[in-house]
Amino acid sequence: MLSRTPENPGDTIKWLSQELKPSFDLVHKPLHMDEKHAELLYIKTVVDGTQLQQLVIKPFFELATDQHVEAYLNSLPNQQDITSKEQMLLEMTKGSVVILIRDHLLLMDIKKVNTDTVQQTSIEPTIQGPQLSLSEDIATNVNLIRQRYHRPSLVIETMELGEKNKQTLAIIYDEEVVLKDVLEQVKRKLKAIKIPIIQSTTELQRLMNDKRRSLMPTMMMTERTDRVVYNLASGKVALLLDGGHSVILAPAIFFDFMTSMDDKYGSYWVTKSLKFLRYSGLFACLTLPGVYVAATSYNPEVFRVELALSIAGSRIGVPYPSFIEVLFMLMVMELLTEASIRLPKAVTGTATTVGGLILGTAATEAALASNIMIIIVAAVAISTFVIPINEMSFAIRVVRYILLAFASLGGLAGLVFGLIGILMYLTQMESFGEPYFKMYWQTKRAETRKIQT
Amino acid sequence: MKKKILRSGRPLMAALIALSLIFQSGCGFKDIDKRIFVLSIGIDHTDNERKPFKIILKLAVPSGSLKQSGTKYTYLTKESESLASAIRLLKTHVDKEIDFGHAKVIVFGEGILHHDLREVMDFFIRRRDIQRVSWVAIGTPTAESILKAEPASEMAGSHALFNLFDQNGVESSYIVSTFLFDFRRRVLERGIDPILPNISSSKDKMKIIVNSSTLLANSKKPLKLTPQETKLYNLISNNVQRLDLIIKKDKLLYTVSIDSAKTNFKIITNPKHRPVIKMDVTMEGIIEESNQHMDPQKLNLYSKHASKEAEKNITAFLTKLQENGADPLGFGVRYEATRLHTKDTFKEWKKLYPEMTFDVSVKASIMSTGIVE
Repeated sequence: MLSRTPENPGDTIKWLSQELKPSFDLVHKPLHMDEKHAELLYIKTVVDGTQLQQLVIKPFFELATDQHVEAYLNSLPNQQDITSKEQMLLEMTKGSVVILIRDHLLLMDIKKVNTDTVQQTSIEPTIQGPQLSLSEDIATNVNLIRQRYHRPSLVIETMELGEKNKQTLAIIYDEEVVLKDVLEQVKRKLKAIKIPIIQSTTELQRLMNDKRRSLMPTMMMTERTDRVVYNLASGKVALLLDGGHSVILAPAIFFDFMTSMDDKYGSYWVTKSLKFLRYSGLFACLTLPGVYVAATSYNPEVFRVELALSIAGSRIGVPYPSFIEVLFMLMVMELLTEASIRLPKAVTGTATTVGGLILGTAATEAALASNIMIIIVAAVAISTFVIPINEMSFAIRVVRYILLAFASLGGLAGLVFGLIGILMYLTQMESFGEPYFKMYWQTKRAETRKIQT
Repeated sequence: MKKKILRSGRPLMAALIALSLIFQSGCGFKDIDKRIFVLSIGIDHTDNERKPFKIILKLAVPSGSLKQSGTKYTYLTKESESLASAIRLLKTHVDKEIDFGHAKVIVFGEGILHHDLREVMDFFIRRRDIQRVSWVAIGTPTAESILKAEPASEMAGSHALFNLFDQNGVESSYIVSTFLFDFRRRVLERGIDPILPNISSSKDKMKIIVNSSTLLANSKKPLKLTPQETKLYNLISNNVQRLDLIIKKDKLLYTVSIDSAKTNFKIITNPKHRPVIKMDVTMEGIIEESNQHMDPQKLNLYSKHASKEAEKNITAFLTKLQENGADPLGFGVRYEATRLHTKDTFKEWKKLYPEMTFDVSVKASIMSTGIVE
């Protein structure tokens, strides 16, 4: 296809190089041989040099005439449409080469991408199931998804996001089964986003939330291709931003966040018991701090007398009331968790060792916390990590403190009151029109049945 | 955007300040180490007419490590005209809040039984922090002697009296367990009489023995039941499944250990016949001990002997109850429940009960001689 710009092509080249001038990596290269003339304009650092050599420069010198070269270049699949000067400028920054030949301008996509290595799963590892997650390049990621979902009805729409950095966003869905309302809502929300810079898929998730302050995630972030494919097959919409190595899925309800992909790979009873374990972990990490405060300060008669006596014995000398003790220990535990996420890998060991010492014996020996408190903090910390999706475990970490406050003010009755409140909050929420706490599960087969051919 | 955040800042500050108030812990919030737990309550009668009640509290003092030093106990005693005022005064004797949440055994001294039990019980029923599932018992000679006994087998953190009555520790057919709510029901209800286990302690206070019980028929003298009778009571009130029967027939003496037992009774009043209480007991068990060789072929015969023996014992026990006008099994309640109710129903029963005959049929089946031949 021949693209003609209304202006003189030579002027366009001049304008383009003017715009990009101060950069050191701008290359403006005229090619001459006998009667053949061409000009290349590109930014060196984003263009794949060897490919340029192979695709453009070598054929230029091998082919006989100008016409041949132009016809050859026009037939390359890398060629892009030219709509305006500004578009050419933008494409050049992404890694396109402008070629001027026979007074025609051609735009070739010869990108160099260094972020296309497929990474190991690091956020949601599973024992069985695929071990590779996504890369940080959109083309590679789309490739990974398409390779796992061979259906002609898989649609990938793209749009640009971010007023300044113009990132490519892919909206992926299966046309046959997608929930139409959800798709429309997603598109509407995406159009409404006005933000100068967007960096990651997770950021997108916050931007698409209607409420300014929210706690529970209503879209699911995942790095696992098998999860993406499973959700696509059951009619969800996946969003993929260039540069991000995770996908977000909409809609997502509470129980989605409690499933691990291993649930599909294990045998029936194993899966069921793992699920039971996971939900009891959720319940434990939500309520244990509150139960401790309630049992030590309000309702010691609820549990056995031996327990009451041993709590009382281990609290001897603890100077502050129980909820401050709990708060203090939980805070140290949270700090430890945060520190081990943010710290460079080389220093993490130190942090955990020092923290472990504080949490372990020193706090009890200094009579800052009781022995039983230490056990509870440890149980809470461990059971938080049982929740498979990170965002949910962050949310649960916050909810825990709300319940602790309720228990500190009203004992066991307060704790139950708080739990009911949280249930009510969850039930009134919705994710893209789906009730957030919907309990009527479908069987695994029924979820993906619609696409059986 | 910036403005919005500023506007929400002020309420947030206010909330923070309000929340900081909870660091000033108030009076409702009492940590567990500021409480002292009452494990058992004893009530004795004093001879002083103006201050008839003597209340004894057994308190557990927790120590740093339960495993090494164990729990120490301390006692508070006070004489007063009412239980509530005694407890109010006792509060000033310790530096901690007295917590009745774990007071699970209430011991009445023998002397107090002559007093009106409703009045004694009233306090325990009204206090919301005393659990209704506390066990009630009678202490001989006094409640104080029982509470202050520290049996050698008592381990750190576990109170011996609790273990005697809940079915987690010792399980015996000689122990009657009566909950506070049940005791109250039996005291207030006509047609069923309260029965309480009898706890006695040895002189050196190193042993507590519970194997008999006392019947408190309303407005009558307390009737003491022997260990054997207590066992029979437990059997026919379906309290226990496991018990033993000793059968003596000629020279043969053997003991049957019963694994499961079930009792039903029916009150039959037919105008033409004498009123009769028909009681069916079924038991299953094996032979535990014998002084002669037991022939597995003759199990049926042994079973028959056992049934006969049990029938005889139960009938004697029921007759004794009848003679004393006591009714711990609730025959009266059953009568009222199964007859057309008029205002005279209970009076009818009162008249009827002394004339009742007992038709006890025991079906004991011995499953094995207990030895593999």
